[in-house]
Amino acid sequence: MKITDEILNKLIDNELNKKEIEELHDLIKHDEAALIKVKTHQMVDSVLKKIDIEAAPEDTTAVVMDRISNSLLVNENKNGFIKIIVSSFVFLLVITIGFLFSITDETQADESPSFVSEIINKFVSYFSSIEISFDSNLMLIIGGALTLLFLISGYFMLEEHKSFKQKLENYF
Amino acid sequence: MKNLTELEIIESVKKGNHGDFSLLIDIYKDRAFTLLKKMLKNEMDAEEALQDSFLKAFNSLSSFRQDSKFSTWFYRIVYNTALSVIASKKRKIRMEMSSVEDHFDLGDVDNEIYAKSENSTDYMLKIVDRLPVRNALVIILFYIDNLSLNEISNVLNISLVNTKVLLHRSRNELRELIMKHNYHEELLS
Repeated sequence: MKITDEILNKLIDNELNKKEIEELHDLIKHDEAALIKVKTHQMVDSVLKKIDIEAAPEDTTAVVMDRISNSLLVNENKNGFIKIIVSSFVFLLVITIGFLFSITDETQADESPSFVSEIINKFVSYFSSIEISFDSNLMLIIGGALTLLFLISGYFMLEEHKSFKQKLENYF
Repeated sequence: MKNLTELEIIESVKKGNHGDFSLLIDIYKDRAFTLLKKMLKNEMDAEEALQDSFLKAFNSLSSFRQDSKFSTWFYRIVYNTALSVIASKKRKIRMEMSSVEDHFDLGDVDNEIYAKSENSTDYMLKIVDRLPVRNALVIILFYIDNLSLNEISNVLNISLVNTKVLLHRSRNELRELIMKHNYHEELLS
């Protein structure tokens, strides 16, 4: 048998069979250079087992948890922003639909092909006119839309509050 | 302090109990820090990379499928984070692993370390601090974290054979250094 790196590593990893171990023992009895190699290789293995685990900075856990809670808050804010945007769109949609309904009531009898263009003209003139006549129907539509908006916003706020409270409880 | 197993902690965090993630940090912070210090050779970089690794682990915990051990999954994140730090600092690193060629090129540093070392153990531990990145990683995961070679190969994303070659070459090179400085004589006395 010849001492090779492979044999030495197999020895350390307990991968030599009984016959190979006996051959190795015979060899190191008569060959001092081989004995030195084997012992040095075993020494390397035993020293590597002594490598100390170094302590991470004491505040590591606190710092990481802070960063995690901050990133969660940022995500919350992003979600909140998206909800506000969605609410605004819903609000605008409700107003638009309400307005169209109010116009449709007035022009119900009119079945002429210019019906759509008339609606658009009224819609444009409605928003471009400085003086908006607050008749009872319009007030009803705006009131309804606002109520719906408040209900939707209230729902989102309640959900936000509940999830934030849950997160706080989980965190502590 | 809660007494949960690793998998229970992970499940708890996945369910929304984010505070339980601190238990995982406490389990792994010291070993991951040791690993990062050996890889990055710089305490400040290691601290920052440690925090980033935990943050990445938290953010992608939902993708942890439990088909491997958490330690293997987490150390892969640590290893990749360390590689990013090294790359960002433009240190020399070769990602390709078609062949294993991580030689110890210590040059004058070896003599410097030898001069400052009190004995063979002290010398070897100082040399381990200077090991090339992947050699250091294999040594730490094998000797400190008791990961199998198969698990280490998963962390490094290299073959089992190459992982074994890295470990064996590290031992062989260390042995040669010990013999070069005649430290082996104390073994025979």
